[in-house]
Amino acid sequence: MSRAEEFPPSPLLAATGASRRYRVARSALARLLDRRTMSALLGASFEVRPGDVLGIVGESGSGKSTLARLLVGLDRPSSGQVSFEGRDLSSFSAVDWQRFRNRVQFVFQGAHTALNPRKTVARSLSEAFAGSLNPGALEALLAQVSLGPELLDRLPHQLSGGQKQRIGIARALARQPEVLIADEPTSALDVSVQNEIIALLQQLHRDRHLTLVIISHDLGLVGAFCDRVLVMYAGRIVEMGPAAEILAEPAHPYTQRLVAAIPRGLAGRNRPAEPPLPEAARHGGCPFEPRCSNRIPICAQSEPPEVHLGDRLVRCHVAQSSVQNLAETNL
Amino acid sequence: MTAPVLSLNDLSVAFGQGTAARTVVHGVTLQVRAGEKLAIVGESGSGKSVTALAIMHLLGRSGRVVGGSMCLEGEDITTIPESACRDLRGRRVAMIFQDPMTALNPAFTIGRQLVDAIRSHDDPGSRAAWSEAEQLLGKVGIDDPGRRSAQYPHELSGGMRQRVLIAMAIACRPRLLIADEPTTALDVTVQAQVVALLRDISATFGIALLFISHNLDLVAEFCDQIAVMYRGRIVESGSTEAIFTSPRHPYTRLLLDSVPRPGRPLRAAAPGRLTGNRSEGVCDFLSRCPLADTDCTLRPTLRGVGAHLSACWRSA
Repeated sequence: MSRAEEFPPSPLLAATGASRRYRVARSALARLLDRRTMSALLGASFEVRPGDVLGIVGESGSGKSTLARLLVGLDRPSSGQVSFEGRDLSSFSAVDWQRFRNRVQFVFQGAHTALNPRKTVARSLSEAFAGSLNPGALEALLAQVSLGPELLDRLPHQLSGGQKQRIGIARALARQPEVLIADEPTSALDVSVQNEIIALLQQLHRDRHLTLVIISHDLGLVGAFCDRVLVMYAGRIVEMGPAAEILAEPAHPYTQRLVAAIPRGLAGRNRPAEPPLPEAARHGGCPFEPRCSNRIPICAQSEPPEVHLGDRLVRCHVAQSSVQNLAETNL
Repeated sequence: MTAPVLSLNDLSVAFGQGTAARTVVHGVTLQVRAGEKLAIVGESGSGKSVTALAIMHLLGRSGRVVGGSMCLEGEDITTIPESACRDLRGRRVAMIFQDPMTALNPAFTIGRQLVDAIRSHDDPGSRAAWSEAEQLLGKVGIDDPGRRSAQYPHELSGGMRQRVLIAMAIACRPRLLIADEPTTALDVTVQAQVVALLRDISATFGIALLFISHNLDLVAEFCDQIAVMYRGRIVESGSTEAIFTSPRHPYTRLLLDSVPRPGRPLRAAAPGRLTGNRSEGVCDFLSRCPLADTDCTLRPTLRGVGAHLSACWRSA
């Protein structure tokens, strides 16, 4: 075991009980009358350590993009906190933010819409640099994402989807950040191109010790690429732990469903047709309870507690009762 | 053996006129029988969607069939008048698209849109059409169809919307259903449900299914036949088992290796890029091919290799 593994380095980014509520009403007038809120994120606590490759998975609406926005400071938690090197982002001064932006960068979702269609690649990239531009800087930046300098004069519509995604990554790399947070970096791309983008991110992680946070709805992809995975459902982290373990033996029933849904080629032939999942109900219990096939009476009554299974964290009543049973039989 | 519902014979499609004309589908030959499920797999720009649009006569002004023929239930539909196209689309061939949000009209309830689809061909009258619409919603797994049919598209989830579009597609009992990447915009759990639904619909109604996708692992779960397209040509085709157990074309192997699977490390990036210009007469895959040799400067044609067809000199 290496030294680094023996003494885990202190976290770069950390969320502590971070929650984000949004007002349901959109206009100012409606907000006066309609005081309803909905929680996009509820009590998320986790850490990102230097050199981590962390994957955040969940279905649309599970709060994974909200979490990413909090991590890069694009949005602030309604309660709880997000900190960088131990300092709360909400206490940051303008200078702190500048330093933070140099070190933590974001790759936006949607390779096709993240670039300004009227700006050439050269312009989009040069805006990402702070201060004046060294000659050859743009070419060097493109080389980092395996693109040639001939693309500098092109407009986004003259690029392929994979090239656009590479430009998006290049833009985030301009200030030589330590942390890269990518929101669905491979959705809307062909499988073969997806692979190239992942290989590029892997290479950046290896060569530049870049810390990566990858947000995706594709657990197969995240599982093959990330060291740790965080599974989100209805704004909560329902399972977190080493990627290989979670994919081999998912503990939370929702993760089990996600893993089962990964296309498996010939091995997945003749899987039975599944009815659509019932809508998530708003009651005091576990948010997955209406969809869960393992549910027990307590699931409808109270939110499940965090259960630790080795390196893993699971938020599930059933997992908790099995841990308790195990403890009792061991006594 | 029954006659195929759809057969494409050496179909070529081009866009543009005169010197600007560019052929994007080259000599595609394939057949789908009733109840059979055929997948066309390939990356963006491989010509898979254009092939589908050609069948639907939806190529637009600049696109046209420049060679070969298309037959639907034995009838040549390569050149038919616009009036016959209306009968073709919806009644005989239906298509579902990638994005279920933009394919529905946000200003009308889904019941109304479904009723319009039913009444546009053999109009059974308003009342019968509404009850049929609710039946169809039930068939595609939507619970409480009465309540759902009064809802607008924005009130439904992505998976629900795709189910509505499938209901709309089967409303006129088409012989052929074309699904163009119907699950790309959906979550994995919903994707699995939609694919299972398409499989059941094809079996229940004996509809021939043409499923377009870039994900081989996904299509292998339910399609009988696979045709792999690369730069406008079919480079490998055969039964799903044959393609999976003994892929012959290096591009098929690349696609198979590209799909991320749990427990398998990701492979290194593909050598070469798609940016290289096409040179006439040369194998299209040459610049990316790990097996390229001198004879690859001559384009290979599809030929039988074992149980299936492959267009590669090295696939013997």
